[in-house]
Amino acid sequence: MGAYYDEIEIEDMTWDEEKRVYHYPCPCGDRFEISKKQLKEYEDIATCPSCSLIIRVIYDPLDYEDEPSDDEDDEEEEEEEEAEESDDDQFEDALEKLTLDDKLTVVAAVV
Amino acid sequence: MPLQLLSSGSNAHGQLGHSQNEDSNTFIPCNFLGIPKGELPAGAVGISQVATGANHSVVLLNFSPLDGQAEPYTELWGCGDGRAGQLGEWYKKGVHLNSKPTRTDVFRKLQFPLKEYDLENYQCKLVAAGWETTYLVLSPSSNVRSGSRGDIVISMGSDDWGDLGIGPAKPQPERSKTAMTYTPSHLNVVSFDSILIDGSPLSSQGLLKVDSLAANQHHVLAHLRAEGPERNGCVVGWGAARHGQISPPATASPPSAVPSKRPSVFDTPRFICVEDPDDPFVKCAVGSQHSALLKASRTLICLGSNRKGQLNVLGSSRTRTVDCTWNGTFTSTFDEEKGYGMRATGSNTHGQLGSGSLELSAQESADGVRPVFPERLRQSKLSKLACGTEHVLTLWETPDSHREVWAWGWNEHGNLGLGTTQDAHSPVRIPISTGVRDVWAGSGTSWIVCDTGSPIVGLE
Ligand SMILES: [Zn+2]
Repeated sequence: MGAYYDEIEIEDMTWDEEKRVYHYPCPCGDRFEISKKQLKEYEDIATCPSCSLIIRVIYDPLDYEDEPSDDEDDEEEEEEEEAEESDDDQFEDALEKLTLDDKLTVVAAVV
Repeated sequence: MPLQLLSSGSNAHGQLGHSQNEDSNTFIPCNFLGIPKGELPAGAVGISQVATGANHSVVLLNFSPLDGQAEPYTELWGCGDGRAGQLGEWYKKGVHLNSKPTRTDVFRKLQFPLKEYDLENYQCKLVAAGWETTYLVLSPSSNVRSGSRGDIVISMGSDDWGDLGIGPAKPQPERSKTAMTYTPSHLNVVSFDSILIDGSPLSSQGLLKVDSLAANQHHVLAHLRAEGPERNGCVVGWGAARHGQISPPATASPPSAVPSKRPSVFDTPRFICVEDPDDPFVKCAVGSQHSALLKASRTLICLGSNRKGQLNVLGSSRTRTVDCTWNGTFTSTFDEEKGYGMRATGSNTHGQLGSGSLELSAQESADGVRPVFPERLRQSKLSKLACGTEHVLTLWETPDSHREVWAWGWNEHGNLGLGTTQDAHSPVRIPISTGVRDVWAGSGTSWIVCDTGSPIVGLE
């Protein structure tokens, strides 16, 4: 019990159709996430990518036993994730190239 | 004296307004676009509210009347993540849909299509924020008050749990975050037309006044009043409802009841509690799955989940105010003999209750505990209680009119501003020496308004 920040029923989590995960708010502002595949495999720990907190998800694994887990499905998911990451990288690179003042000027011009 | 806004804590989307998006474990002045670094927008005479969601922040600034005008006015400035529309469509377009990289880490003056809704003469008087949502109460300026319009509540952002209070969720493409569409001239106006008091619509009993608005994760409480001869008031709520957090007290479930039979969402405002004109509500507060209403008589009504003991709190003649962390309820108390103090109940995994220990006896779990303040604060007044997601800030006024901030709880993101990321299991003084005006707390973030140049002492 002490190891979990909280224990959350799956009914209180939100399904993200695009990222294909259930998520629940983390007090840091990020979110705890767990996939249907994890649920199917009897995993019950949802983690937050931005801090050390974890929650235990309360659910019935039998509800998820029909989830597809073939390789095709996995590949698709990975591709999507990679595409997202590279977008983010480009954005960060662009930001880093600018100095603080430059950035402010750019923004002011835009607004 | 000029004021500045300081913030500390979690900052992945630039929500601290520091012109960068690294976490900060000390208090640093916030920056406003086009304004000299660390200063408030010119002419701002005060900050009446800071409202924070998952990764966005909104400040409500007060200004003196413009030349030739009688009315003071307000402005809303926001920063951080606006992808779900939680900072309005204008911000989403200008920041997130911009072809050039555009910063989220500096406050911008938010703009809303008020003209399209015939609301040009309205001022924002209250702001609240949920997870990826922001709520505004707009009030007609006094010079147009002869008209027949009351206060208006605007909701913005994501709607997964009926958060916007505007009925069934909009079609997916419009709500989708990745599709990144926007509707620049649209505002969600929350309707209270279905709210009945004694069988008759609140809206038929006089102009609507919104006295307070409280939001957290996915539910909202609004304290409404009809400004008519009867002065009828009530508290309504909308959003996530599964734990009874927005259900009338009579039907709120006992702690052991299974919550899943309850509707999980109310996507339009629902009546919770009527107001006794002789014993009005003085404070509404919300946690993640619970709500607390304090009446002038110091009666405390708690609704929702009690799985962390967060409802194990009673009002008494000593209760002054109430606020909620996600899984806790905190009251400030005043006693002629003992002076000001607090009572805390709920989750204590990170010392959130401030009692000095992570372990609670069965009795402490059932009755709540007292956060441990130093003896010398006994002569001081506890003037503000601000609960974040899992940490708490308190503002004290000493007999010689100095103001001190004491904070405790979860501190993984440095949100206590103490120069560390260690949790504090009992109140610790935040080392800002003088001139503190007000404090707020958010999702792993803390906020202080103070006089410009207040030396931040005690940190290397
Ligand atoms: Zn987190």
